[in-house]
Parts: sequence; structure tokens; C-alpha cells
Amino acid sequence: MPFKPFSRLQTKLTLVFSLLVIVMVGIFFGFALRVYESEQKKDFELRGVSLASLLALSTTNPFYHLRFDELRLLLGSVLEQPEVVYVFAYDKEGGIVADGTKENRSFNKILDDRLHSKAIRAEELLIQYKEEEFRSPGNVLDIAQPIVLAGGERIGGVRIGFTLSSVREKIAEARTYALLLAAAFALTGGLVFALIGRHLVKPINDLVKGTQLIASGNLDAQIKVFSRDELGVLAESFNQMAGSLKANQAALEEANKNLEQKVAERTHELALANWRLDEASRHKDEFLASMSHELRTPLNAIIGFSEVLLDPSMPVTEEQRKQFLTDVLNSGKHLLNLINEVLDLSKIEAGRMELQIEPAPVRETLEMVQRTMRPLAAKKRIDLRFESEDQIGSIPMDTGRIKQVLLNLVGNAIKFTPEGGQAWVRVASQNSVVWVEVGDTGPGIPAALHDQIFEPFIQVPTRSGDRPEGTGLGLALAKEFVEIHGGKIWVESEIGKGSRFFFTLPISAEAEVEGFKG
Amino acid sequence: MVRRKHHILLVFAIIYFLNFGVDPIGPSQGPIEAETIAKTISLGIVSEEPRKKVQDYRDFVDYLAQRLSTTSEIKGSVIVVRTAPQLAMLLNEKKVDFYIESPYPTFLINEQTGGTLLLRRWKGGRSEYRSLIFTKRNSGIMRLEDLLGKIIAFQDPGSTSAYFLPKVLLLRKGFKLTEKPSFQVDVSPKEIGYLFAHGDIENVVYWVLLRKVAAGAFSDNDFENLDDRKKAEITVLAETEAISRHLVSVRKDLEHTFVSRLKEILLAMHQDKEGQKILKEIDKTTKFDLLPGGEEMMYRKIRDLFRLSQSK
Repeated sequence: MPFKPFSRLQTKLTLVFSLLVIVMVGIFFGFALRVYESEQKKDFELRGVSLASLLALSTTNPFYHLRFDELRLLLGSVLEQPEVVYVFAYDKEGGIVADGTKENRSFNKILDDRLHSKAIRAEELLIQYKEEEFRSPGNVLDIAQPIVLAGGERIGGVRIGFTLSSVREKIAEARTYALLLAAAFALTGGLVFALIGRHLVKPINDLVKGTQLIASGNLDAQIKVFSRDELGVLAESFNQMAGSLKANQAALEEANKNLEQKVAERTHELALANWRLDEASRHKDEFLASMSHELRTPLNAIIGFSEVLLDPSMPVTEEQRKQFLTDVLNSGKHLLNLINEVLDLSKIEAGRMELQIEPAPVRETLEMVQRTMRPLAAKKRIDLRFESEDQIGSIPMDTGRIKQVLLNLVGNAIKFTPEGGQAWVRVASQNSVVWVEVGDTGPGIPAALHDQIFEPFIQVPTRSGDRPEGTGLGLALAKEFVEIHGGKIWVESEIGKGSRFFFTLPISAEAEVEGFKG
Repeated sequence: MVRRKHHILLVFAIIYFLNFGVDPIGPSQGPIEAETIAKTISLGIVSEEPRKKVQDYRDFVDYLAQRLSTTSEIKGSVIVVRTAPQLAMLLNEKKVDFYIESPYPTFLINEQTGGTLLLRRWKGGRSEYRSLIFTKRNSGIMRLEDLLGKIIAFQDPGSTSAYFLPKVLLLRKGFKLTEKPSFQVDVSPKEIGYLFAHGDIENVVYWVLLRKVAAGAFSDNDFENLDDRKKAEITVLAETEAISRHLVSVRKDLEHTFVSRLKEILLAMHQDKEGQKILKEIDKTTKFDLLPGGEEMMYRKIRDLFRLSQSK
């Protein structure tokens, strides 16, 4: 496994655990050293006591009999021990009898020191130290053992001084070993905890990396934490959160997309509405202009002819007068018709148009229209024909309004068809619907205007580009009237190939008109 | 003479039985076979330190054996015993061929075994020594007469300088000597009590310094070996005539040519470096020389002293 540098958390964990190990190892080895030192001290004292007791026992007889050679040998053998720095046999008064050396230079001396003073007064074994601090350099363990005869009489004693250098060396050695062991333990512990820390921190690092990836926007990132503990649960939660985020983001993106689409649609609709408003405004402007023209023309005619008739300075023949009055009448009718159409349209848009729909014979309506329009067609030498199926009877309709629709369509056909052309009205029934076709051989209507021409004030320009006669409300009213009857109206036309207007009417009130399209 | 011999034998027997636990130490712990005598030169030593003596005298006997091996190989051995009677027994059993001792025990042993004096040994550059009777300075004892009613300490009954010579001196001076069992017993004002310290001479010295006894006796060599402090605490009351320090004796039936050859080697030993080195190892021996006045002269002198010591 390649070595990876420690993360901060891992470093902290390692440091904390290592510190913990060092403290614990320090406490343990400190305590162990204390115990070891105490045990060494006890062992050392025990050895000293054993030797002093043995010496006192073995010197009793030579001491009593003043066998100095034996005392010398006995004390000398003790003095040869590496840890013994001095040995004395002394009498009751404290005078040294033997010191273990051949010269016995301490003979008959009374040592003037604290240890000796206490030793010569001791009735039983006495353990003393030269220095209070056990480990202080130069310290000596001094053990005094009285020499007692079988009868209990104390005749003197022996003192042995032991250097503590060996004990100090052992303790120092133990301290060194303890330090080495402590260092080894701390190092091993540190390494172990580093590895454990790495093991513990790895899922956290994985979590961090995962969250960083997620934070950077990579919601496909999956945190691979295989532990089943809280970190595993946390990683799983993160993965779930990432999944939820991704789903939410997708939903949000979809919503945004939809919103954008809706905004685009709405914008389009709004633009369209604006366009329509503009168109309507323009149409209204045109309507106003047209209305002004339409109103002014007959009014001018009426006013003009009326002024001529009333001006005594202008001689008017009877025939002229009659003609003028006829013109005034026609202009008035035209004006009335115009106003009626405007009123009708206003009612329709205001929703106040009331139709008197009742069964009425279709044929009679057609005949009425035929009678009305035939003179106009004849005037332009247009061949106007009416064709109707025989079986078509009555249908529910407002006869006046349907007649108005037919007159408008046929009037347009005659108006836009050049002289000598053809116009026709065909009526048929199919699927409970009566359909009516009004066609002509006129110039045709551009496809772009097929829908617009049913809007109010929309007129198809003439071949010369002039605005045609009329209010521009006829087709709009026709569309409203047909649709009020539950029917539909549309046009099929090509430039130069004439036009065919269709509208349908249901035979009964429940009749469906869907799919009925010639 | 017969009574005296019996008395000596009794003393030896007592000493022997007092030391019954001590076995001779040498190359062979068991009895030395008679056949080995011809092929082995055995030295007998009386000492309380048998192992040390065996070690010290090993080269010495090897040196002698090597030079004695003319026609056949002869090996050297050292046999250490704790008492003179033990040595006498080994001589009688022909397990010891020769020995080195001070004059008094030499006299006793040769009396018992028929051994003969061979040479004198010099130690520390001196051929003779004398005995000193000493007391603790400022003890109030200024003269030998001051010892009446008091106790003098001798080393042991086999000591020449620390028993035999001072006893003879005191007897010659007319003092009556009585052996006492301990320090605490009363001594008649008409006599001088004595007791044995046994062991090393230092016991005698310390007894005197501790005033457990009024006086003690040792050789002038012992005095020289004391440190200055002890010397300063001692006052010498009397000193004996000089006597040879150590004597070499051979058992009675040792082959004459063998003895002669041994004598030649010993006399010449100090003349070569190896011999000097070995001599120094054995109690700082300087050399061996002929007995002044010959064997008979030396023997007579010792015998006279012995007779004096046995007189009442």
C-alpha cells in the first residue's frame, strides 16, 4: 500500500494517542521503577542483614575468646565482598576490635560518627544509611548486628558498610531499560495508533473527498465507506443525499426547462397577444378610418344630395330629384346597415347577442338570398348558381342571421369576382350536419390570410392594392353567427384559383360538427 | 629420658587428637604408597593454610624433583598437615621425605622419627631470629619481675619463638611458670601464669594491647612486621638468644645419595634465577646453607634448650 501523508485529523489522533501512550507508559514505568527500586533496596538490605547476622554468629566464639586471627579471617572474607566498603567488630564500649585488614589500623578506636554511635547502643539489628537519600552518590548501607552470647549477654557487635553503587547501577540500568522500553512502547504505540488512526480516519477522509466532490457539483460521486458503523451510515446518508440532490437538481433543471419553455410559450403568446393587440389596434385604426370613410361617404351623399335638392339656385329635374332621393335613401340604408353590423359585433363581443334559433327550412332561406343577390350578379354578368339537396329540410337556426351570413359570403363572391365569372352556393347534409359552400372564380385569397379574414376589420386587398368596399366586419360576424349555431366556418383558396367558403350547421341541437370538413 | 619421651608422646597425642579433624592435603588425599617414595620427593609442611602452602611450594618441589631425576623420573609432592605430630606420623610412614620447620618442632619431630638435620633456611635475608617478651606501653610493667602474679601469652606449644625460647628465658631467670586455662584465673604472686593464644601471633599481640594478658612473646621478625602504631604501643621487656629460623630435615631411612643430591640442589638453588624466584615464593626464603657448626652442634643446642624448658 503506498504511503499517504497523514491528514490533519489523523495527525491529531496520532499525536493524542501517542501522548496518551507516553503518559501511560511513563506512569507505568515510573511506578515499576519505584517498585523495582524498593525491591532492590529490600533485597539489598536483606542480603546485608543476612551477611551481618552470619558474621555476628560466626564471630561470637572468636570474639569471646579474642581470636583475632580468626576475626581477621572472618571479617577479611567479608571485606573481600565487592559491595562491602568496611566491616568492624567492636566491643561493648564501641572500640574497634577488628576491621578485617591485616594491619587492623582501626583497632581500639572508637569511631566518632552518627552511624557508629547508634550501632554501639543498638540492642538488636540496626539498619542505617549514611545519606538520607537512598540513591545519593556515596551513600552506604550500614548494618549493625550485636554479638550476643548464648546467655543473652551482648559483648559487642559487627558493622558492615555496603556501597550502593551496584544497586544504583542496577536501578540506572533498569531506568535505561525502562526508558528504552518506554520509547519502544511509545514508538510502537504511536505507529499502531497511526495505523489505527489511518484506518479510523480513512472513512472520514473518504467522506471528506466525497463531500468535496459533491460540493464541487459532481453529484454522481459515491462515497465508498465499507464500515458498518456510524461513519458507514453517514456515508450512506451522504450517498442518499447526493442521490436526492441529483434527482432534485434534475427535477429542478426539468422544471427550469419547462419553465423556460412555458416562459417562451407565454412570451410567444404574449408576443402574439401583443401582435394581436397591435393588429387589433391597427384594425381599430383601420376600422375607425374605414368607419369614417364608410360613414362619411353615405353621409356626404345624403348631405350633398339634400343640399342640391334644397338649394333653389340649382335647377333639378324630377328625374334627377328622384334619383337624388333614391341615392339618399340608399346611403341611409347603407349607413343603417353599417351601424347594425357594428352593433351586432359589439353585442357578440360583449356576450349579449341573442339569437332566435328555431327550426326553419333551409331551402326558403336560400331562395331569399338567391332573389336578393341575383340582380347584383346579373349586373356584373356573373353566373350565380344555387344547388341544394332535396332532402334538406328545416334545421334549428336564426334565419335572419344565417341569411345575413349567406348574403355576406355571396356578396363577397360577387364583389371580388371579375365580370363574367362564376359564383355558386351548394348546400348538402352529411352526418347530421348541413354544410354550405359559397364559391367563386375570383382572384383567390393568400393562404396567410385564411384565418385572418375572419377577424374583425381584416380585408383582403384588391388586385390593384386598394382597400375593398365594405366594413370588414362581415366575415367576422359570419364566423360569430355560425359558431353560435354550433357550426364552423373556413375558407379554401389559392391565388388565381378562386375561393370556396364553407360553413356548417348542425341539423339538431346535439349534432356534432367535428370531422366535417369537405 | 624414658619418662621424658613418654611425656612428649603424651603431648603429641593430645595435640594430635585435638586436631583429629584435619587431614593432610597434597597431590594424593589418600595414604601415599611406599613404592612411590622412590619415584616421588615429598615435602611435609605444617600450616593452618594447607591450600596456600601447597600452591606456594608446588614449584619448589617440582624444581627439586626435576633436578633429582637422573636415571628415572621423579615427581615432587607437597603434603601439608596442621600439626607437627601429624607430620611425624607421615615421616614414620615414609610418606614424607623431608620437611622444613623451626628448631623446636624440628627437635620434637626428629626425636620421634629419627630424622636428621640437613640444612638451615634463611628467610627475609636472615638466618636467625630471637624471641621478645613484650608488654603494652604504660602498662606499669617495666621488668620481668613485674610479671609475677600475672599472665603471659604464648602462641602455641609448638612455637619456637612464641613459646619455647621465651619460656626457656623465663625459666633461666628463675621464674616459675604455670599454664592457666583462661585470662580470668588468679595467678600466684610467686609465679607467672601463661596460656596459649593459638592461631596467629596477632592474637598474642592484641591480647597484650587489650591488656587481657600482662605480656606476650613473639619473634623479632613478628615485631618488625607490626605497623608503627602497634610498635609504638609495645614495650619489649626481654629478648632471648638468637637461634636458626628454619631447619631442613630428612627422614631417617632416605637413601644417602638421594639426600646428598637433595642437599646439593638446595644449597645451589639461590644461585640461579629460577631458583631465586621459587625461593621467594616459599615464605620469602633467601637461601639454604649448611648448619653452623654442623648437625650435631645445632642439635645439641636445641636439645639443651629443650631440657631447660622441661625442668621445673
